[in-house]
Amino acid sequence: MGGGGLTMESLSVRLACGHIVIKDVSLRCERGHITGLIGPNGAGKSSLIKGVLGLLRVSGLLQLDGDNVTEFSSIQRAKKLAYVPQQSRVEGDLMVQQVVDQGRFVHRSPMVRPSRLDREITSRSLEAMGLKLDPMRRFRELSHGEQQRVLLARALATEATTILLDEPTASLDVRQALVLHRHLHSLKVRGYCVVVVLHDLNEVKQLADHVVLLHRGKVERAGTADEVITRQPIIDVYGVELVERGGIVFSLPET
Amino acid sequence: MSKPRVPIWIVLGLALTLSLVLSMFAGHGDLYDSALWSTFLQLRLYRFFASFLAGGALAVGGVLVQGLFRNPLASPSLIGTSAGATLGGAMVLLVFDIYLVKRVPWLPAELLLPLGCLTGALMALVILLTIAGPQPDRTSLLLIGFILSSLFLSLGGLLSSLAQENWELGRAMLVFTLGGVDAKGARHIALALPMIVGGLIYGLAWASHLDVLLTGDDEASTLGVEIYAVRRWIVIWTAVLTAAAVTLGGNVSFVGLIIPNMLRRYLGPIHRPLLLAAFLGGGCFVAFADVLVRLLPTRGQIPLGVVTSLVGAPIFLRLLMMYTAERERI
Repeated sequence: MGGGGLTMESLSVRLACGHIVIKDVSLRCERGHITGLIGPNGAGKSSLIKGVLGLLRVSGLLQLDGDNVTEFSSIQRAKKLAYVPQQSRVEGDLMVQQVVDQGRFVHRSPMVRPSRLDREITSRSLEAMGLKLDPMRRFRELSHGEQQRVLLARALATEATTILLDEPTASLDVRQALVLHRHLHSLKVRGYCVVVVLHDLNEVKQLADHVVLLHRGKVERAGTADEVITRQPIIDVYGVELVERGGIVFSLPET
Repeated sequence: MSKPRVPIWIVLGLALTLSLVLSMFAGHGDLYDSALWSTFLQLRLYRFFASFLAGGALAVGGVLVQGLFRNPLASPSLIGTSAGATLGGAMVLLVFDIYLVKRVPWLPAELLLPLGCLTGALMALVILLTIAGPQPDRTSLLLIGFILSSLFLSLGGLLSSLAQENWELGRAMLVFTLGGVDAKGARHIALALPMIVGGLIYGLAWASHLDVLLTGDDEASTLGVEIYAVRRWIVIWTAVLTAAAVTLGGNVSFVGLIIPNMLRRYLGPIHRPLLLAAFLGGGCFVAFADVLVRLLPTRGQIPLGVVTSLVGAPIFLRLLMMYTAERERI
């Protein structure tokens, strides 16, 4: 899975009403990297992700590993791009196993039950997320952290190697967030292209290899976290001073 | 989900057998009279099939619209589809009596009835989707459904009053509006059966799409569900199923709401087993209601729709309270 990834050139994204929310954005999200999308509310981070996923209309160049994403059918897109929302809108009493099974939907005929291979892949995906849950537990009864990991397991079950996450840690406590970071890091090491929308700038510094600062639908700055999260762009975009005083850093225990 | 699956299928099998047996024996007339035996049996068999198929179609339609709106409180009768189909059917009865019966005397009204019901049901769903949007919240859906139902039933009432000059037509329209399967014969069943089988097959074939749709349009779309195709076909098949049910039983309420919700508690939210169970459960429910219609000691027959509403409304209120309590708990 070396090289490749998502490439956007002069990409614009518009809402259903026609309003353009992302205008002429060019950026690259490489495989084996975690790309963090940051910016204030309304900057267009989630819209950019939704445009890539085909949920909003786009114009311009959008390629995945050299292939034109806009020419993908919805099935092709689902096999190559996986999505983890901030919070799932799962209705009903779906169980953990049934939610992860949804990741296999695109690989099997609608009339056929999940095969042994499907079961193996979903079990492997749950294991990869370190989840030792009863698969018959109701998804809605899980903690937010467990729900996020189940959704990530569902994304892995699609076998897509590009994963887009929209503020996955927004409602997680510090431990749950760090557990999720560790899983995203392991995906990166395995050559996945990981694109994640984040609000917390400290978290971006810890997690992302490549950071894109969006402002009013345009790329304000892109580069490493140290290159992007600097005084001037932060004042320009967020209207706040950047004060570095060491701060507190958390990490998971070794064992 | 609170109980294992096997007993519910046994319960449904027993309910089917019991409803068939009761349907054969309930009502006026002596089944043991050898001269009338075959006639009674035939009429009651038609009546059983009409009520069973109408109930099955409405329950399957209920599962489909609940999947479409991701809302367990949606059903053809609550969102105005049944009332739309009833209005369409009533218009056909009226137009047929005023205009067609003299000009095209060889054309039976039963042939046109499903077409009128289908047009009415489709019109009701399109109006609902246009006003409410693709994913209305629970309150908006119920409110708009209530308003549409009231509107269509009022228009139906207007047509009925126009038809009162002709006593037979007026009575036929009243029975049609309040629901009932008496006087339904092989021709009605033969017309509705392909519509119902088609709707059931569609539901079973697309059930896994509906399962993924439980996560919402955006997530389902990224998981490979073609939202617009699924939505379009659900609307069409729900209208077809409702039209078939109304053709057979007139306006029979609450079946599409209470049966899927009661079964979901035992079978969970996965659609394929739910659709099959809803077909059987809905069928048995209306067949039992029709037995009740025949057994209740009243001067005339109570309309079928009145019986299903008397049973269904309290269950609906109970379900509404349970869902509200669950929402607050999670």
